[in-house]
Amino acid sequence: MANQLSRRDFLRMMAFTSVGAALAACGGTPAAPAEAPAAEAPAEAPAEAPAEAPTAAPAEAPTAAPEPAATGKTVQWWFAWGNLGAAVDKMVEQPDFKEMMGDNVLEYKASVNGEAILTALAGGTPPDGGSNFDYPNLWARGAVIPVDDQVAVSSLIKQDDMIEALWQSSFYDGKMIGVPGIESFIWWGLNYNAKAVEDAGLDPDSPPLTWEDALVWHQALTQFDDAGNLKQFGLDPYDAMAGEADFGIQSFGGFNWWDESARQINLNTETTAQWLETCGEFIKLIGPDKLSGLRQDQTIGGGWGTSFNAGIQTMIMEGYWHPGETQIQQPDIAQYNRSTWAPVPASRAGKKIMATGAHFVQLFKDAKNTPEMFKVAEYLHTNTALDILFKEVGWITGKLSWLKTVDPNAYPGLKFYIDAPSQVDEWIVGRRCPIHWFINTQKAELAEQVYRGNMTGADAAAELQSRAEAEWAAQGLS
Amino acid sequence: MQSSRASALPWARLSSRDRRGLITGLLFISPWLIGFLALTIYPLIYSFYVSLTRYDLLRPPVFIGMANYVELFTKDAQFWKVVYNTIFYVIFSVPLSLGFSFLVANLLNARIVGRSFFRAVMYIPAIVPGICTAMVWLFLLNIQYGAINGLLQSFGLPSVPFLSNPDLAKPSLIMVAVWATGNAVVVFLAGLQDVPRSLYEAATVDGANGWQQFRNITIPMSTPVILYNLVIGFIGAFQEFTSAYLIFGVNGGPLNSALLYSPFLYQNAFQYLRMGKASALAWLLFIVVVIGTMMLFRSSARWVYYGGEK
Repeated sequence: MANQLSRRDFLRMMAFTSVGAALAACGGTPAAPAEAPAAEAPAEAPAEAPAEAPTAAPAEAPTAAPEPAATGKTVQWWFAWGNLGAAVDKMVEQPDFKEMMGDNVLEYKASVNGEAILTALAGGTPPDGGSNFDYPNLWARGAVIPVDDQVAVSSLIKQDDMIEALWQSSFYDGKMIGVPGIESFIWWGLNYNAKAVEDAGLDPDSPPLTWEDALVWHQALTQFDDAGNLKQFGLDPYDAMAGEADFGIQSFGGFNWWDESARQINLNTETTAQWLETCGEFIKLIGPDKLSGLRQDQTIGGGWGTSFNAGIQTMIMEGYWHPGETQIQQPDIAQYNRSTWAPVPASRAGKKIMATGAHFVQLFKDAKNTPEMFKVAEYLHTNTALDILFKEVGWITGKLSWLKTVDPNAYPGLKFYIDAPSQVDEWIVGRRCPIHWFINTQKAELAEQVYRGNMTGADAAAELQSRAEAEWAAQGLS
Repeated sequence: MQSSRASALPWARLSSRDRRGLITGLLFISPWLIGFLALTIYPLIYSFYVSLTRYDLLRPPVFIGMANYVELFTKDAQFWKVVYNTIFYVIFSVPLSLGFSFLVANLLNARIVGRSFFRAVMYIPAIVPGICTAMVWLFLLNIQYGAINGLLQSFGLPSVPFLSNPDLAKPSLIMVAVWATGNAVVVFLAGLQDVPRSLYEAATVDGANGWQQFRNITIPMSTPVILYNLVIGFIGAFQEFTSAYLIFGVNGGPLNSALLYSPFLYQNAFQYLRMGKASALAWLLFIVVVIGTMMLFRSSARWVYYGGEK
């Protein structure tokens, strides 16, 4: 019994075991960031998920890719929105997709939030590709690689088969910062509910083409009940795409506040002041508190496009996806949808302005399988993929030869967007400034100062410029 | 005695048995110790370094000295507003929550029919997830669709823009905080049940009425628990995130009127990728909370009564 384990020896052994286990656990953590978001990556897109607004992760089960073949690679693609999942589910089942992938397997994760992608990038374990994230921001900070070389030799992606303004929007610092793919078309139209318009005694065939006329419509369409509750209103001029400074300011002044070549911000202008003052008039008519209350109700006003789908908002500034998404999400409202040119000030009457920009598949620096990820991005340019995206989600990519095959009457209001590119007088390429989200956040507060009567438009424009310059300097992006 | 003697002696003067004991003890606590050093102390020190840098997570940090702190105090248009909002929230939510929970605990300590049921009801807000609480209050307080305004309107009264008016946003948030005081109520209840019955019996014999007993027995005997809840509430209020973020979003509601410190910190870190500035914000908050907590403890010598010792 000389070798009998004493109590002390036993306890010491247990302590060593505990330390070893703790160290082993620490050693295992680097893989965690890549795995963690899977829990937040639902396969099914929430019905109300907007095209332009990242959504919170719904409580669906994560999309599970098939088990990778022993010899193949697992290609990881993360996207921020939830509603792309349904289309990708169909895409991976296509024979030509399977053939293209060979032994490789696509592992895609929907509804990936910003924190997850940042963690993965910072931890050195990025996915191979990403979509719906802040493209110029990621590019400006060196997180993604240019794709010029791959695109140049691609047999599927051709510049002369794409809308030119859209193609050009893919470049930053002279480099193509991602493959324009999942949905890349035109972004800026006035969409309205023709039935509500008619009920208000207006002519749905003569939509407002100036902000002044839009205000008249807004007035006629805004209704309250006996208790003073907002029953219906015309246009929230800061809702959806209109919430971003890029489009509003260009609409009023015909220029982009962000000078990309000089890296300069020009927000302190009369145009910005005019934009803030004019839009403020729309909200004063609704009542700032009432509009704020509406936006706090997620079911009918808080999400992207929900108030239009609920029939409370009757005009909305959105892009080509509006007809398709509304049809898929709320067909009883979509049947009355019509779309037309976005308003401009009376001084610019007749201008047909349109915004564009790509939604990319960006390839991350230090990712393992970027050539394979590029193939997936390339596949999004096949007619098969484009058809699936259009049917499942209502999304379009500005590939000219494929656009000819699209039924312009598939969704009410879509025809305007299909026909529009050839008629545009002035293109807006949005979301180019790496700190555009900061500016939009500040704009939201300053615009509110204006419509609540605490500030003039000019003061707000000056303050916005001052904050933007300070942030730009502090971020060290020059 | 053994452990206090060992800790007072230098290593060389320990007997081999004590040394073995010390090593074994350290090994036993090593999982926690390693976790504490790696997951608390190291990030704490590193965050201070990061606060002296420009760092966006995607590029290496660049040392910029005190620039983040200078920016906060002199250039950031929102910082002082956020500080004001947060202090307003702390000043009102902590005493109100404390007072309300103490009052409720006293009511629940009384011999009433259905006491267990009421105790359970009071604790429900503490176990309901924050997101559910926030959603419920959003539905209750909405200016148009909220149940409370619906009730007001049914009596012909005007709606109250609880969450959509800059003047009412913070008070509404405080109201939510006061409602969710189940944890404090439970702690107070435990403390109240520890007050010796003999004191009340003696006071009754001396002719003290209920208020006098409450003022001269219940409150003094509960001061240790009041201090505990005060400190926890004070720290928690400075760090408040969930309700403020879920009800008002990352921009803090109308005119940023309910933009509190923690959501502002989060906004800088993850929306603007300003990890250096966010770390500076975290350190400022840490310093304020430490100083505030120390002041509370120092003041406690004057108002907290510990029955067992002076």
